[in-house]
Amino acid sequence: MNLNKSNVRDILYILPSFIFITIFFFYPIGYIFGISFFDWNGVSQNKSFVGLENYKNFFVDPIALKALKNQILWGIITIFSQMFLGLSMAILLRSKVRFKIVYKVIFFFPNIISIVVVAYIFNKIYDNNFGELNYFLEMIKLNILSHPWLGDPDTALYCLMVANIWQWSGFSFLLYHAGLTQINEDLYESARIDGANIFNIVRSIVIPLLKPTHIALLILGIIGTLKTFDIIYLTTRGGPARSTEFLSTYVFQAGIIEFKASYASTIALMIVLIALVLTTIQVKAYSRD
Amino acid sequence: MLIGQDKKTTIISQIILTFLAIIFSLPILIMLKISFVGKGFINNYLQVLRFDYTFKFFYNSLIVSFFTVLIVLTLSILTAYSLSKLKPIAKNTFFNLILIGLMVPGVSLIVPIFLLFLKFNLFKSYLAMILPISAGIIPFAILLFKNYMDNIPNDLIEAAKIDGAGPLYILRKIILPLSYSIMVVVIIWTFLMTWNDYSTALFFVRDKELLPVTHLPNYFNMATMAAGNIPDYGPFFACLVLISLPIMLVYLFLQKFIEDGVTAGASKN
Repeated sequence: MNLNKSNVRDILYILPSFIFITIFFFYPIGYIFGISFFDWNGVSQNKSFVGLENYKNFFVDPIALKALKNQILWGIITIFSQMFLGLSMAILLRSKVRFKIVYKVIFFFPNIISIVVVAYIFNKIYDNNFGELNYFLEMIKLNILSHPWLGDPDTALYCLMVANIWQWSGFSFLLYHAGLTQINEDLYESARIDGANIFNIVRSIVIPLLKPTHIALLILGIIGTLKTFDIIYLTTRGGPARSTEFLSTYVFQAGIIEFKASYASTIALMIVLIALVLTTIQVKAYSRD
Repeated sequence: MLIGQDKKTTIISQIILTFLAIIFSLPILIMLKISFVGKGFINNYLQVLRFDYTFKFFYNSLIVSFFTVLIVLTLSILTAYSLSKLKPIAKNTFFNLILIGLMVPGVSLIVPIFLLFLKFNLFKSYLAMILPISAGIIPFAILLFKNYMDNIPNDLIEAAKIDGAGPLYILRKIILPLSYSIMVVVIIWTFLMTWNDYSTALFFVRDKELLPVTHLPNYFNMATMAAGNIPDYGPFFACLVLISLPIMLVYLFLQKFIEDGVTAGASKN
């Protein structure tokens, strides 16, 4: 490449964004990496080098492992439920049904309201004494199932997953909806002439051809899972009995509330590594095909 | 059509979709209903509107949203323009580094940013929200603008160059007028993400006067009420509806741009 004055000048356009990204991404990543080798509370003068101690602690820390397990479970269940529901909605709307726009608005609307609103609505629905869910169960004479939904370690995580699936299925739906418009309709007709029914068509034409959409949703879903914080913080704060603890809530608790900056940074670095590794693998696998 | 056109299939599709739509609208309907009962619609909403901090918090959210939109728009347009139409040194390296910002969950970086803000004493400033939220959205906005600008034909630019136009002139007179639709998408999404944000203020704001509107429900919390009685959920839920109202209006009038943003942002990773 021939370097000249204009190549240098053109960088000036990138610089302001790049400085922003450096301050809020690269500097913090370097920082958490650096202090993960120390024992430090974030403010005091005492900062002692402990080598890999924090990492050793992480892998035997029952809370961290519990959080990791919760998050893997959360990722698998929510991502696939959203994909299944979103794809079903998108396919069903490619028919001659009426009021298509109404369905579209209803399915997507939860995605644009604040997570605060979502968290508080579901908090109320699941309430043991005044919640709509228990009220409904009573109405249909299933009192036996009545339950402090978010207060029970066995149900809390799954109940919050439902809220997440409710909020994000519309997002999967929109992407599948856009993906379906790219598929040539003639394919369906010729398959039908060959005697295929709707399930055959979905399995052997629609699902394979929507691969770019599946990949996009998987990547966004994984990053979304690692980002999840607000809904947990606003409802259960990780409880009861750590049953809804996430790495993110643990970082907040350890780093900001308990001033364990170096250990919190070690957990945070794990989140960053998981995010980078998983997304890179998927992008690579996708572009190889 | 993917789904058969016969009457039976259409009716079955309609029934399944309606069932799903009822389930999906229930939480919103529950929110609206609770905001109307108790002491009644008018009293619930009046209690929220009369509260000392309500207008303050709405104002804070507006200020933060306005400056976040301004920063995101300006910086990401300049960067996307350079990456798409100019020839900066190490162009691909810069682009890939910017994309890392899309992959890293911001919540993992709160400790260093917290300590940084502590050092620069930003806990009592709108900047404590504006800066991190902008940083989180900029990579996403750059990607949207760059993908869009890549589709603007280079002939137009070459022609202008022959006439002696500089890069800023070309950006102003050729690129920007052709990019209005993607600008609307970015403005709306930046507004939505900023308005809806809860945790940035939780992490970095230590001044009650500066809190955004998403923190308003805390002040109508039923947890503070005497146990035993049925709590009065009305004002709390009226507050949730008021927070969502601007979002509902934006969606109602600009639905197409919001949906375009989703598909444009995800289609190219």
